[in-house]
Amino acid sequence: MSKMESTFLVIVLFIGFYKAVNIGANDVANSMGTSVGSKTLTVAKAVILAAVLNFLGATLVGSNVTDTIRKGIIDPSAFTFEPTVFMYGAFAAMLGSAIFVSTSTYLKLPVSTTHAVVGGLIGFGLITAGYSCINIDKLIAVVLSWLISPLFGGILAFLLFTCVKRWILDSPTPFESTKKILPYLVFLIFMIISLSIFLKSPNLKFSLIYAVGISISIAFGSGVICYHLLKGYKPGEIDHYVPVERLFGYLQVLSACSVAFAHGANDVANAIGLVAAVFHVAQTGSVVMEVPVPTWLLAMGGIGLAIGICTFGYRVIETVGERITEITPTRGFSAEFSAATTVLICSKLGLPISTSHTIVGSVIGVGFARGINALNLGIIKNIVLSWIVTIPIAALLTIFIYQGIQFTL
Amino acid sequence: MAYIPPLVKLFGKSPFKPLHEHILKVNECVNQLKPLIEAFVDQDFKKVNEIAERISKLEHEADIIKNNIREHLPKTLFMPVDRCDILMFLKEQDTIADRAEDLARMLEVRETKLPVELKEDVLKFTNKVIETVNALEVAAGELSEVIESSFGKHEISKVLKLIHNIDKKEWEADKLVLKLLRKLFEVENKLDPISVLHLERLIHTMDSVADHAENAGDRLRTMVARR
Repeated sequence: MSKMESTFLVIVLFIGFYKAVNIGANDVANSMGTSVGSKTLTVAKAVILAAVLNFLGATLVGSNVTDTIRKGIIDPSAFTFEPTVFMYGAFAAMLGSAIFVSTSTYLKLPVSTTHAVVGGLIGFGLITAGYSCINIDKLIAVVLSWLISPLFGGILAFLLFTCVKRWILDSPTPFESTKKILPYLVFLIFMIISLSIFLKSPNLKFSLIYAVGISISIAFGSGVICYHLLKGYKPGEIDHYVPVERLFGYLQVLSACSVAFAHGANDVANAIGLVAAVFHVAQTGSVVMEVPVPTWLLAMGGIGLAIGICTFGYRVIETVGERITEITPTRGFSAEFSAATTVLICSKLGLPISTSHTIVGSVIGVGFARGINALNLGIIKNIVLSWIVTIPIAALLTIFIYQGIQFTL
Repeated sequence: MAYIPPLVKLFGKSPFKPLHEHILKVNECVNQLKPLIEAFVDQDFKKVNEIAERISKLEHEADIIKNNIREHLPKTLFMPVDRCDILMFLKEQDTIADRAEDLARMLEVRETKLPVELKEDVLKFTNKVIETVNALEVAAGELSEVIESSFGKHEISKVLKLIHNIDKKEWEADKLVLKLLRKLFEVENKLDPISVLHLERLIHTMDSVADHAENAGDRLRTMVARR
């Protein structure tokens, strides 16, 4: 490996790491926002939980989305005979999306890193191999998934909160109903998390039946433990909703943790997906359809996320605690659980969706079930605008950077 | 200033807490009618003026809360209840304090003599009007429970019962108005015509305090009832 090439690889690694830090800082509110808002978690606890679970999610389940981002939208076979073009193009896409996201964050615009990476890839495809290498069907599917994921999260949250409302909040004895229903909800949460870990984790190669079996056992065990813990639990307060919300606080933290986990799994690819591609090309000199993502790279992405969460993310979370004050654990749980499920399903399908937009959809879903006092729906306009703007601008930036590299070399 | 994620921007400022502060203020204002009318019955006009100032101050404070709610209620705000219902409820609630202030001002501007025959019924009537507004305050206070239950039917039926109580008190107040007016016109020859007219207007203004409490209750009903 030449000296220039290794310098290049170090720069690529650095940009990947920088993006991971950025993603961690910007997105930590998605998982922990409602828990901090409802005062179930302190800022410090939320930050530590988010950092640990993002890291675990990235390292254990992170590889699925990585594949799609790289091989889905642009066809790598167009670069089979030009590995250097692929390397510099991937580099330009990384830098382009990183600059776009950093600028938007500075301007306080609600853009998604995931979407910016897709935009960068398209710019890269257009400038290097031309229009033909872009997989239009795949692109349409990806863009549709951006629309569908908040919608799906919203519908799920609406249904879940409607059930909580019917069975618990509107029961004549809300606390007793909570004790009855909580173990089932705990079962559901652990089922979703275990399935997502065991079904497609690269490090734990389980067969379908084995994965489902082990997930059911873990979920069932957790449900039983929850049932026994609740048996002797007595409400101390006279107000009948206070103990209900207190119990739901535990569920809210659990589901917030699954969002953090899902976020790590989903979003680490945005940071290190292209890094993996560049490294593979540099090591083997060939561009192939499937590139294994080394665990050390996933772990590096996970560490980047965690660092971002602990540094700038800390300040973001503090703002959240001041600004979101009117959410209670029953609402927070419904929104977070629905978002986690949506993100994990989409990660499994390899769809690069935005965690931020999914959680926004879920919270709106709870709002439509008359669960939240005041929602500022004006934000939807901003989000839709960001969908329209992100791809072209990130693509253009990538094209400029690529031209710049060509010019200098 | 840290980056503000879309999730945070999604949460708007809820009007329900200030709405509760508003009814507490209005209720406090109306509660002052008791010492006000007692002073009037005793013909202690120095005290009447003092209490009238207090009422006026409370009314002004309620106005500030009201304006604050209105300023923070953009059309894009999505709430579990209709925005119009909230604004109408607020308006009725605010008129209660306005009428209480009107009454205090009317007592301030003319030292009208109160015939002995009316004294007891005036006090009774005042208490009933205050009870009507107090009943509204209790019903409106339960709104937070309705919201907490996300508009569960148990909590809604509790509030509907409390609103029914407002209607009952208002109806009783209406009956007292009739009795009072009859008594007033029975003794009209003992009084000068201006005093009769002034007393008549005082009774009607007092009655409209209860009327607006009933209207606010109606608005509360449309707010909590299932859409």
